[in-house]
Amino acid sequence: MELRNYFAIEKLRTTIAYYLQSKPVQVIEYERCGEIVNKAGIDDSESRKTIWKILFGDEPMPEGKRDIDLVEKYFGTFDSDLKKNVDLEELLRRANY
Amino acid sequence: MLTARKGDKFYIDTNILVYFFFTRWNPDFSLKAKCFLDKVQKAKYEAVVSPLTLMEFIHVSRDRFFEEGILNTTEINQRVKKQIEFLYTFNPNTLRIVGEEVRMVVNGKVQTRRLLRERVLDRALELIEKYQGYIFYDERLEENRYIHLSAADCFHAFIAKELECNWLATFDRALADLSEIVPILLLQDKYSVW
Repeated sequence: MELRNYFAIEKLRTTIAYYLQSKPVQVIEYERCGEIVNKAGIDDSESRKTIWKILFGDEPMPEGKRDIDLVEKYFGTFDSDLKKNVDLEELLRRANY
Repeated sequence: MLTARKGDKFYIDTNILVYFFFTRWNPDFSLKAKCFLDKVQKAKYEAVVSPLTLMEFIHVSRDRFFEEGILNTTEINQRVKKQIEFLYTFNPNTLRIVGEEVRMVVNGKVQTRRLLRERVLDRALELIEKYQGYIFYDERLEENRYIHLSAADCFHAFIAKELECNWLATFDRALADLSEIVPILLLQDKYSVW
């Protein structure tokens, strides 16, 4: 296969995957090692509510967002809660995780 | 060399969430966890969080806050809950939060599956007996460490298989032994998901 065709197919595949991933429940077919794979889709619409109720009771469940900066926003958020000048080596040793 | 592809479905091990929220314990792993979750948020990958992952996360996160000097249990638990609340605001179409029973769409039909089937305890015991792990010298901590499977590790693998995940994503090398159950992707490996 010519390289430009390969990239064109790859781009199309990515676009389709992105579109399918954006739907709540789906069965995704995609190519792996030359064969079409049918991937089971997960519908977590009910189970995420169940888990929320176990942990938070009747508190309102936040809505998921497709905000692309979200990960950047949350990264290390809790570092500011922590003590400064701790002995990190000692913490690591105790955590052993 | 193991490398994930666009559209792959990942089961998330606890340590990914821990490194994402606590960034100064291992900054390198934290950056990799961030990069991975960023790709999930941007719908390059799909990821699944199970009740077992959440249970372990709550346990480890409580320990972390305590070890960092927060001595009030209410305060610790408020912070832990805030972290879980954050997870709920991720892209709901790519970050799945599943319960003990989960609905799956297989060949166009909806099925309800239980995450853990019968006899998983026996099978987990077999795995732990079979794989004895290894000891290595950790240059960072300057001490020997024994890397071996835990009971929870085995259950993670069974759940990932039940959910038909392409990978179990982790930073824990002990899980490599579970590749007979589900493919294991170590996020610290250079070309795993980047």
